Amino acid sequence: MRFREKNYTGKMGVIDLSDLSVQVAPLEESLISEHIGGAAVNRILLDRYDGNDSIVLGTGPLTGSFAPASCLLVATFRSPLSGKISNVPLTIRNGSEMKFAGFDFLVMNNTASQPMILSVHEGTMVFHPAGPLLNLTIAEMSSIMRREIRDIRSWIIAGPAADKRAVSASVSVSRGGSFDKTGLASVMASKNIKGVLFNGIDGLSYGDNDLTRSEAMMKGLSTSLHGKGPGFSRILQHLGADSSIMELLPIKKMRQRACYHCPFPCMCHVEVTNETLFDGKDSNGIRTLLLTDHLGFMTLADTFNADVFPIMAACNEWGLDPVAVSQIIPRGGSLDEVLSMIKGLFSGPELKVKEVDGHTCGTVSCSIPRQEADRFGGGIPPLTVIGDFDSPENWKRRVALSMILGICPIFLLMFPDITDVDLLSFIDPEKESRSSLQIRLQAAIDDVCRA
Amino acid sequence: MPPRHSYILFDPEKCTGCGTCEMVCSQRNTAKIAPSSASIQVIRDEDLGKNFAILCQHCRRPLCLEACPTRAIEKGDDGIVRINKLFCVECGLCTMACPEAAPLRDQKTRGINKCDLCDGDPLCVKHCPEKALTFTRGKAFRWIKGLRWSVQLVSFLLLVMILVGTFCYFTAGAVTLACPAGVLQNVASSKTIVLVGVSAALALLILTALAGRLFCGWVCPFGFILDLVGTIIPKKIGWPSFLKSRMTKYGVLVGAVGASSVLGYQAFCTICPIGSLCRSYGVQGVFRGAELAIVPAIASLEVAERRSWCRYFCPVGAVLGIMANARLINIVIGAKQCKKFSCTQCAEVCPVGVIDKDLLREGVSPIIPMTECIMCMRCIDRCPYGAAKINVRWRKGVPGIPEETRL
Repeated sequence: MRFREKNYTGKMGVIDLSDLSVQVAPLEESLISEHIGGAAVNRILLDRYDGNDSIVLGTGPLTGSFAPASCLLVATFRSPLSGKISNVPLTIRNGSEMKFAGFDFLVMNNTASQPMILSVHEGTMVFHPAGPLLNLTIAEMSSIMRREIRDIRSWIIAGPAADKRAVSASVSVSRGGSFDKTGLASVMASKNIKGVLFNGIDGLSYGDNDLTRSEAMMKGLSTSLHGKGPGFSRILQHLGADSSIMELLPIKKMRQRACYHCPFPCMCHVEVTNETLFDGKDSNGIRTLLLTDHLGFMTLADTFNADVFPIMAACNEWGLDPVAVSQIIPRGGSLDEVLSMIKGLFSGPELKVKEVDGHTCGTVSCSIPRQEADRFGGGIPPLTVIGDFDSPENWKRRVALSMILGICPIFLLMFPDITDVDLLSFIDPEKESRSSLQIRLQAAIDDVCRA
Repeated sequence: MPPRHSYILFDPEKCTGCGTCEMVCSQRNTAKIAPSSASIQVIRDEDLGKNFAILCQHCRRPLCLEACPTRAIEKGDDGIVRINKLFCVECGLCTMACPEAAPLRDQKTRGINKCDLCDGDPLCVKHCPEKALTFTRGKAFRWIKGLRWSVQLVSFLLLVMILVGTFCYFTAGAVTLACPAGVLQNVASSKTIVLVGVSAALALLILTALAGRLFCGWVCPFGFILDLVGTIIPKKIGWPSFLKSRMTKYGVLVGAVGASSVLGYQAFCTICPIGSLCRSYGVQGVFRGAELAIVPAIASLEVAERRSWCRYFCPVGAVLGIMANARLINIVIGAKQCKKFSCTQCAEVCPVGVIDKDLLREGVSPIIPMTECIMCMRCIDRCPYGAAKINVRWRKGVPGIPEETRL
């Protein structure tokens, strides 16, 4: 079985949003054998369609496979914040679902004449008008989309903040925001792409011993978990959260959540009872808030202390980067004042704030330079205390590795025992040919880190 | 011997929604990684932050099997419910019949996928990173069951075979006990209140006021006979609906007291199956022809429903049912802790049929009428999730999930 056949569906879609045309092309063997996949191939495709203000969505060879945490979809685009290429990791199930929907890479060129939603399903794409979804919260959009489009297994959605062209807007890959802090949401909004929905029902081939390999790897991981308690709080501990922040987390009320085939649940649901926050649908006044953005939570908690949950929920619902919000909204106000200030940002035709230019990591102490963090979306936690990722260079290469192979970067940062050789064995179990693959992978990592 | 009930337990508290179960299941079904073709499906509710797994419970009496028009579904000797793909016409009736909607339609091929427990070694259980899935073949030994049968046997031997007197009225040393329904009839027939008799009946009434109809489930010698007969005759033909009124036994009680008052003797006691059992079958039995026939005649009602006599006719049960209104304890089934609404094993084992299956399937905790419950605790013994429990009466809420951790 060839590299492409086993790890990719073999199709890429090139979309011209100006006339809503789609060109489905076979995935070039040379492209993936040289650049492996993910962010490295995305960058090549971005260069190829340079001048079209493109967004490239790409999966890695391990996305959707039996390799642990193989959920990743990488969005590559030119960031309006830095003007440089940014690779935003889109987690939960987006990468695997895009592959199951029949595509390895999607290139979105030009701008649609009106807001559209792109639905990807069984190797085809359908455009839905998204005008009625403008300025709605993520919850409202979610219920409308599920009612109107039905078969949705995962999505990337730009919230109401992006509708106002806020650069500090952040895409939502679920109800819990994302790691987008470099303006993917606003770029999508500027191209009139409100969201991309995936409904993957196809299958993906796998190698003979992949399941056994995965099982062995998972067992090994269970002995090397770092710390105790929910994964979300463990990451906060590694980021240096002090006791005042940790005490805010209701450990007993947290329900852990993991992305596709991930043994380390780094997200969690916490209970939120603030009824003023959510309009309409609720469950006896109690709803849960999905926490995915570790940096955002820490920064908000540091700024607003106990009010962090409703403010975080507001950021999630309105598609705002919590780090940016903590820098826009002054400290000291009551919760109602803060929420009305955030909501007030959307009251006029244009966002009423100047864009922020703070450090991506917010108030989190971080040795990763901003431009390096922004290369990978700006939201990946600077987990530099585990393994040998204490230098920005090592951190950067580790994240690039994950972005190329299609593995969640947080997972790879949390488990330094997993080597690139371990992961490449899912692509090529033969030791001899794997060494050449390893060389190409290192070259691809260099490319991503240089871009 | 019926096959052991094998199934997979799902714990939503542990499930992180990673979907590994769907992956490994689909690779067995299709030789590809295709979660939409799996026989297990995880529903992720992002509003409530909860996950639910749709998977086959391999019911004892599978509704899918009955619904299948081509008899493609069969329950094997190993207790596993399987679809024979050769006969399946993909009509989807099994999915509609299943309360869990567990036969899943493959979105790609439009065929039906149903869990076959990987022939006894489920991959999803093996690979679940959080151990949210557990494979079980049911409890090998149920200690409550063993204890109850032992107590019933000892009670039977004591009341019928060993102790002097009958259940109706007997003295064992300093202890004097009497049947409360018998005492009521005695008072009605003699028009006098004999304090010794009333105080002898009080013991049973106080026990019932404390612990519900424990006597019926654990002590009653005729109940023991009914349970034995019920075990021998597992299939029930059912009662016509117009006969299925639990109020009948209260009518029998009123009739018995009224008849005793008119006739001047304890009218019902002459045909009471408990009294007949004690009087006619013990070592000191009278072996009168008519009384000998009462026990088998009433026991034969088990053909219709389990504990038919106790459900609809027993006046002793009626007196105890009235007293059970004052009980201190309840049996509760917490629907939130009951993790598979289609399981309903508690309802299936209940000998007096007081657990509402439909409510359980809707995810609502059924309120068990303690005036009818005979406190046999079969539901507690059977529940694989620990959702059925004894609760003190004044404690609100369902067991197992403290208020502050409910989502």
